Amino acid sequence: MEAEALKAVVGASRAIRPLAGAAIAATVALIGIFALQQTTSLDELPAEMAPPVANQGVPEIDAQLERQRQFFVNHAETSSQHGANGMNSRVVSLRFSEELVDATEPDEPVEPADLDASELDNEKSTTQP
Amino acid sequence: MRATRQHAASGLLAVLSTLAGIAPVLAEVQPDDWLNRMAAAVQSTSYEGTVIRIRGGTAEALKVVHTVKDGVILERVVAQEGDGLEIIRNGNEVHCILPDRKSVLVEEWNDQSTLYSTLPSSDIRFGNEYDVAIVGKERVAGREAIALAIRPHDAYRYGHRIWLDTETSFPLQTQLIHNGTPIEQVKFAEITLNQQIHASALEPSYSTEHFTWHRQLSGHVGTKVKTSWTSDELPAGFRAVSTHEETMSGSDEVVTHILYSDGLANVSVFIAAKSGELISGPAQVGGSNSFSVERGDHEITAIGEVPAMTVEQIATTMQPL
Repeated sequence: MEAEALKAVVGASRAIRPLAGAAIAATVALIGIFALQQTTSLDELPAEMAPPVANQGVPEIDAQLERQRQFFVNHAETSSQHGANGMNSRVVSLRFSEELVDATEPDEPVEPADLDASELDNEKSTTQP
Repeated sequence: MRATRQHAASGLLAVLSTLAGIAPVLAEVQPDDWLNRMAAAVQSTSYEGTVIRIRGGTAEALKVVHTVKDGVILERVVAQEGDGLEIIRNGNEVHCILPDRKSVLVEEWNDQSTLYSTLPSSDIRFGNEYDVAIVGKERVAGREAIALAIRPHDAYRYGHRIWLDTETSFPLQTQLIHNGTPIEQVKFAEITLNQQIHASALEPSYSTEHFTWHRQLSGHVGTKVKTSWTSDELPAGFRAVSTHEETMSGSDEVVTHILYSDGLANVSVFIAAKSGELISGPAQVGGSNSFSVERGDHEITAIGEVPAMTVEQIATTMQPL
């Protein structure tokens, strides 16, 4: 595991600890956010690093994680508009957006050509027939 | 035979004259002129090659094809490992194909290049928080490159190194530097510049029939506002360049977003009403850091491509007037 992933996992454990009830799903999301392209699964983590597993509070931490993710995306977009640094901010923000794909459910089938920005909401999903 | 020797000698003389002419020209170009040339090159150069992107000790190879036709950006970026991400861009419309998830994410981008969405420019206030210098010549991706260094004057910001193709000023390699060490890097392993790009090179390699299509709005909705929130302990050179109220995706929650900049590094501060248990403290994504803290009934999060100490100082010193 790379150093960044290690740092991210340690950070994830620490962040979750105060919350009495974080589920594995949320922790996976956290690793996804802070390590992005790291592929290490929870099963591969040393036991002492494994985040606590509980059965309450999932919506709350999910909301917090989602908020953090949006902050990173919004920051990347705004920075880009102002033309300053962050040389691969597009690639980074795209990786965040990928996380959103997993969070959405398919909707009614629509041809891609029919996609119209004016009628589309954030994260709305469609299926090409 | 004599004629041949004379011809060779005159040819050699011509080459030497050309080289002698080029050298002073390169030497006379000032560092910030190189930055201006780079900005123009990123917008106008067609290129095709393999990029290695390194961050936090992890490397990712991307095949990149980019051209501009009739003012429209056409681009294809394909991850060579991992999830096989493929980005197809036609103008501002971008299709991000995720083959392993059988999904296509549709986005709208306004910047000039996926690879170099933002780059340092000569607008930076050099001499205050940073200085810029030409630090050498090297070969990158088989081409001669001139190396620029943008060096910060304190520990609150990162430095940059940029290798520009001497012929076209196109950036062949970029590094984000912290304490003398590269923490993020984009480097072409091989590249062809300004060659004709065939249409087939820009087509997706997957049939997206039966894929699930997701669409995101081009950006978060924001309204310019004035805010009473500020910090009187901002690191030197940082000043507010925009303040917006933004509605968070998927909810009615409105947050205040202040963007601070020192001319090169940007830090966003998000101020939200307190809602539940905050994941406080630091977080990191490559060279980007964030720090969250509670302040009364509000949650403050600072995020930026700056060292951890910078976002912590900004987040912990924000307060309403």
